[in-house]
Amino acid sequence: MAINLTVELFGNSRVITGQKLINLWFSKSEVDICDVIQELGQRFPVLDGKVLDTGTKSLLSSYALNLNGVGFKDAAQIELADGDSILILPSQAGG
Amino acid sequence: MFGYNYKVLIIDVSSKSWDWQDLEENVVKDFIGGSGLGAYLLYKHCPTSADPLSHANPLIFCASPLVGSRLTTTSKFAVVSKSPQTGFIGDSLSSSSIALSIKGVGADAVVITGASKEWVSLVVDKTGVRFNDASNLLGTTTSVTERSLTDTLGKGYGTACIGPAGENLVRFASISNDGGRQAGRTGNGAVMGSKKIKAISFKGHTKVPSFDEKALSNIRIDLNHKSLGEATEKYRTLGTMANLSVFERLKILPTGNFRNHSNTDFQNISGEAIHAEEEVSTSHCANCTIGCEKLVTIPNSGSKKVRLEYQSLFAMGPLVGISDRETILKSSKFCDEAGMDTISAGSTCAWFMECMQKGLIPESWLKLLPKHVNEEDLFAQLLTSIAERSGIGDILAEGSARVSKEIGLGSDEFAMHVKGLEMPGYEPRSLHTMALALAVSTRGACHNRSSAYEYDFASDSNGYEQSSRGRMVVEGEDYSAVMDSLIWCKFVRRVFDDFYDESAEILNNITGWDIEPNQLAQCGERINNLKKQFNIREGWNRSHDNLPKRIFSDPLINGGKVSSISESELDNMIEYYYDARGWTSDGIIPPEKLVSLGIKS
Repeated sequence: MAINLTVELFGNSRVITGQKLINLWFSKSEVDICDVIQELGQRFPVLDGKVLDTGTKSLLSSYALNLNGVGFKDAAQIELADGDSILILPSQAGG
Repeated sequence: MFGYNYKVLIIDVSSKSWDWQDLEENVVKDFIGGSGLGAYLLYKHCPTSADPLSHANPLIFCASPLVGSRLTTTSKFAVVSKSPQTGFIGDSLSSSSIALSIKGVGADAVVITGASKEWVSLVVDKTGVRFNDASNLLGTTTSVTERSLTDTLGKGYGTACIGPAGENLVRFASISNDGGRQAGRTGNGAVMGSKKIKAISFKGHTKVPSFDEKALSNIRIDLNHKSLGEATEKYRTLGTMANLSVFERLKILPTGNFRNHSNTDFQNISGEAIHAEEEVSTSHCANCTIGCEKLVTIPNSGSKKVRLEYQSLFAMGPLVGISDRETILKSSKFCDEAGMDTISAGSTCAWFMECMQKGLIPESWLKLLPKHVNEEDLFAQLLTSIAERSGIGDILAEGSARVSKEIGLGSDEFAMHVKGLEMPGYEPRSLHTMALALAVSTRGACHNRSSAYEYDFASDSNGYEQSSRGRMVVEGEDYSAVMDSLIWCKFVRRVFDDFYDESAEILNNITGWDIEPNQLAQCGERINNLKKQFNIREGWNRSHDNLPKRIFSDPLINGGKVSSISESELDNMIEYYYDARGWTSDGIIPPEKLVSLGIKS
């Protein structure tokens, strides 16, 4: 079974990639956030060191994760399912 | 003497005289500076029940111990008075080189009392205080006023001034300084206008030394480095306008006067779109490494630029249901030049436009309405009429709270304010910690005196108990009070590993004190209690801690998701908040609490 995911980029991550939505397809039945970050880093090397760290397969602390626009999650809390949207947002809430 | 001048400059514009008073060390150890010292001086100098727009209400400018330290983001000052919007404490912060000038004249605070008969422009420098005729500046915008005074006085003077809105006593008039930065909220510009002070200029001639400059130098280097890291990425890149697309996606962007979520697409005015499609440059306050200020060139304006941040973008756009980028940029620029708080101006217009749509405008007012071709045109004309106090603007200049009471017909239920201060762009039906903070804040619907939204954006926010939210708002308010008194910019907050530890160390290196981190935290508690005690003295009661009826009666429905908060839920959270503060169930501070904090009523 394959998994389709959508990644929505916000803030500077959108500006430096020029992408608002990125569709990802994985040919396996279980996918975690590390897989998503690795795939994003490969497709958009400009994100490495500015939004994510491909070495540790994690987001930099300047960005936060939100699943389907509902709740903010730590990476370890997220269980991904086919059709999910992963929002990558600036973690600084002020303004 | 390190860190402070230990002096307050008292200026009486009625008699055109001034005096220096000593500022005792125990006062600044208790209230620090900035917003905290301002609260102390307001309590001391404002007579009970003073009309905010009378000579009796003092207008107070406060520097802080960190001003002059050259630590990043610390060139800030507070303006404090009794608010003409709320009738309670009104304090707002602004930034940049004028903060250095205020402290450089030898004052930690300047208290302006009385009212002049003629319009004056105050000049404070090493020769003393001059009361110059300001009749030639009347009617000029904030940028023209500032430029004119710089031309007249010469280099080295920093000016804070009001625009036409302040002159006309628009209740939400702001005070502008350093090229358009605003002490925006609570109507301090109207207080300045009521004293017939068009501007006040400072030129410093002294520098307050720090106790341990070498230690401070090392801290400065470290903070500068950290401030350019991940903790401030959003502010450095897109600025706070980055909030808009995020809030819209999460359905927490208030639109159309906080009616149900709009179908209008606001992506055109997102921070990302503006950066991609408009000319945007970055500006820094004095001694700031972050540079959150984004100057956007306004299309079709002859290269005029507007300093754009999220709250203005929200208030000039989604709040009034407008998505046209050029209209929003021009409206924001107009408010800055007229000297008006964008949030209160936008909110008052949004409320009024809804009244028009519902046919609630009294017939006698209809002839006062500006002729307009569409909503964008109407909004622009309403802003102009408010600043001028012409036509319907003379009524709307009183703000949504007062005018909705006059209209009645249920319009007060969707006048989106708390205690008379209009609400910022955070959706309380979704952000419940923020809802509590908005309801109980001493200055009305304020997002800056608690930063409570931080808790709502945390990864475990859905599981909060109501009692937890009470404690969180107390914690956020006390922390913010310390930030606003030292004064740090809020955007540097995540740079600290341990805020109280590091701030206490810095304060000790500046002053030579030996203050402990927990004592600094208690200063935050003391400052918030004093602000509340001022409000109680001025007539606060339990009913003032509330939210507009619309928040309870109109849940947000987005697809299958309903976001709401009931009045009883808010009441429960308020009870937990009072309990966490050690106050009575009616929100009154017990005498023993005041004594324990060293506040004498």
